[in-house]
Amino acid sequence: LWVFIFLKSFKVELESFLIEFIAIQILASCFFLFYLLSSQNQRILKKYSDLEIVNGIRQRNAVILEYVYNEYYTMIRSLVIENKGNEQDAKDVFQEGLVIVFRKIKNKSFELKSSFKTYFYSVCWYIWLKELEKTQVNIEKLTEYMYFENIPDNLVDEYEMHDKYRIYQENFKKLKKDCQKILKLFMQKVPMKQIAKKLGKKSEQYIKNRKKICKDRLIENIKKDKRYKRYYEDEDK
Amino acid sequence: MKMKISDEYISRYLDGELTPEEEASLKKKMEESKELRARYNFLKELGGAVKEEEIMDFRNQVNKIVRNKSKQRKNYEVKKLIPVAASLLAIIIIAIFVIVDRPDENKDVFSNYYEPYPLTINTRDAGDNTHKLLASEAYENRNWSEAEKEFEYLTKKNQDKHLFNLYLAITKIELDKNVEAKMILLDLLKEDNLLIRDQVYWYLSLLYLKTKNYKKAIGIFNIIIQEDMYYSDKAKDILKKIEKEK
Repeated sequence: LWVFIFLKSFKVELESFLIEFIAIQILASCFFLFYLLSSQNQRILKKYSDLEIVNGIRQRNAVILEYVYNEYYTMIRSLVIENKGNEQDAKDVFQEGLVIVFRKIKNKSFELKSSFKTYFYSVCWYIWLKELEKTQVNIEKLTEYMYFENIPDNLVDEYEMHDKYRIYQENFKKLKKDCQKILKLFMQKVPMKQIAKKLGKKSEQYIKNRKKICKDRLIENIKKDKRYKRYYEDEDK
Repeated sequence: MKMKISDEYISRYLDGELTPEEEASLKKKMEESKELRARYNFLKELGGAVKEEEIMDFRNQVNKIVRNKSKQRKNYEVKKLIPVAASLLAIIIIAIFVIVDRPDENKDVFSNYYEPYPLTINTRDAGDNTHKLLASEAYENRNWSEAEKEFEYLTKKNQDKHLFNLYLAITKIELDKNVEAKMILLDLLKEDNLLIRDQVYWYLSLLYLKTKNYKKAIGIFNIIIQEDMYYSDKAKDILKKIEKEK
């Protein structure tokens, strides 16, 4: 219709096949756009309350986690990208923000004092602020917004520990599966004999040696990690 | 000799595998050594981190979601561009046909109705006919610059020859010397007993059409119609077309 009105307004006599071609193309585009918008709408149709989100995160509900991504990733991405970050930084901040929230929510006494959106934004904002601090970028712009009031209790004190734990855990996850298993069981204080049995090994000595090799490798990898060096060098100073 | 405390030894302490005496000794050493204290803290933190299985699994889960979603997001962004691109393409196609290929309707009217006035020069007159012959030949062969030169010569030599002026105006129209053509035609209209008055009006109106001076063109077409000149039917047709365009 639009095409015909447009053409008529210009009084252009075009070949009918050409008009049909353009009209079909526009129509197809409209259908496609409609399809995309409707599929997008389906995704955002269901709204969850803050309580449902908190419970969903606590239970590691995949639907809720995807919902959190759909709802808040763009917001976090803007925060990071508008403040000297890139797409990968935005992904990292979003992920760690959610891990911190999960850590907090796991605590049964957790109480949301603001909306989940504000809370999550504040956590991510703080993470990004700390990241920028590490790179010694001018953080005036970020600090002027003063989100400190919304920062979860103790996060300021706990963040460094969370960040260190992240470095350890990410390096731990890079170890071979058997190493991860041995170290995990060992940390859980499972007796050597049982560890050997679980891993199908007869010799306790093998487990003992393997545990030492794995742990040494883990420590070596962590100490090589640039992120850890930052803390390590600070402590040296 | 002072023995270096190994990480293994500290780990045993953390696991509660040391005797009370060994523990006391290590604690004392830690109080004295910053380096030992740092290693102890590190190993303690490492143990705590590795125990956080649920946190690691959760991070893994979120990481997978972020990766999948960002892939979907990229795909969606590409898909989102398809209808936009298609619409743009359609608009561009329309624009090409409408703007680029859109015929200038009035120019079309001009070219539909304009044609050089047929030659009616008598070359068998008494006197010098050379320039008349050259002018006619050039006009016939559409050698407009040559024709212009010859007709200019003829109009200067034959002041009263209105017909030469008409041909000169036509050659000027052909050469896009529209202002000069207009001046010649307007001067002709000032003449008394002009035999080619209809033709002069006609070419003047077409010239106005050509130069997009539609108001004047319409005015002259109306004169042609009102005075029922030779070209009145054509003038009516043109006016109808112009009206339709409006």
